[in-house]
Amino acid sequence: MKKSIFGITLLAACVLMINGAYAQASANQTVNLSVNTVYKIATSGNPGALTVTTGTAGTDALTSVSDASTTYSITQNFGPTVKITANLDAVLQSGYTLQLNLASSKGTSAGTVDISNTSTGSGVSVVTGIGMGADAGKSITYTFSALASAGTLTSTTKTVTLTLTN
Amino acid sequence: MKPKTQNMARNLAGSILLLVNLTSFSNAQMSSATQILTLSVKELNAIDLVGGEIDLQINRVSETTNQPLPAENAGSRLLWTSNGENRKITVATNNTAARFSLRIIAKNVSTSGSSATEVILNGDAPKDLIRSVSRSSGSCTIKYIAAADVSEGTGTEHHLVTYTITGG
Repeated sequence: MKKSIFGITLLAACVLMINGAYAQASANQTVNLSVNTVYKIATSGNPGALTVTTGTAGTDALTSVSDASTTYSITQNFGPTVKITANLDAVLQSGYTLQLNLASSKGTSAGTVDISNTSTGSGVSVVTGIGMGADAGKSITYTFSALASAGTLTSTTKTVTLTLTN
Repeated sequence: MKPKTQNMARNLAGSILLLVNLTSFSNAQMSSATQILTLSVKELNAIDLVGGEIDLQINRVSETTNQPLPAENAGSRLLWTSNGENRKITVATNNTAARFSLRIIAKNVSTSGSSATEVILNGDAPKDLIRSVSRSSGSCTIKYIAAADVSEGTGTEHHLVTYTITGG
């Protein structure tokens, strides 16, 4: 009797195993992954008005004014040769100087750069050798100066373009 | 080369060319952000005098005229900067009842500006010292000359001399 029960149990187990084996199925999918080149640069807004209001008697160069109230952020995955260039929409009149300084922790800042004579298509490098990754909230500092011999300047709007490129 | 082989070679060349073009396109990618700046320079006029307090003592007499000899001091320097047009520098004293004569000469005027030959301060309205100052910085030496007649006696007078850069 015991042998019969054992035999039946063994048979049932074999049947279950065979059924389980027949229930398995598989399907394959090829998944192609790709990451395109990403270049992104954005600024936090516009700086305040830069107005020269004072100077020193006997000195042609008036007292310059600065603004460091804005920041920029970048993201790029291209490589370590990416840079930021800056240009104005049109060159400044002679006797007025606009300088730009971009801080950077992913690249090398060029320090304070004169962008007075830049225009569309003729930007100057302000940060070079930017490594892959993101660099957020880095300061942008503008310095505006003028010569007394250049006279006064009524409120003038200039557009500065920062370009992230390789 | 067989025609089939030629076609294959042409297609391969086309593929390589397309790949190169795509690579160039990829390399030319960029991103830009713009900021708007508002720039202005206000009209400003700055003037400064270097030299401190001046003490002029008339204590010598001409042997030929027996009149007191003038006392002079040319140790002051006037500096100015203006980005305005057609400014001038005037000079005035607060002593409206001076007995003794006080004259001022602007010498060695640099850059723009033309000086009057001599200004006599007598307590009236400000006198023009340097004219035609436009969009410039400059400097000059200020020479003070104090003079008195014997008939005016002795005494001490004080002047607070004020230089002003103003519209011409």
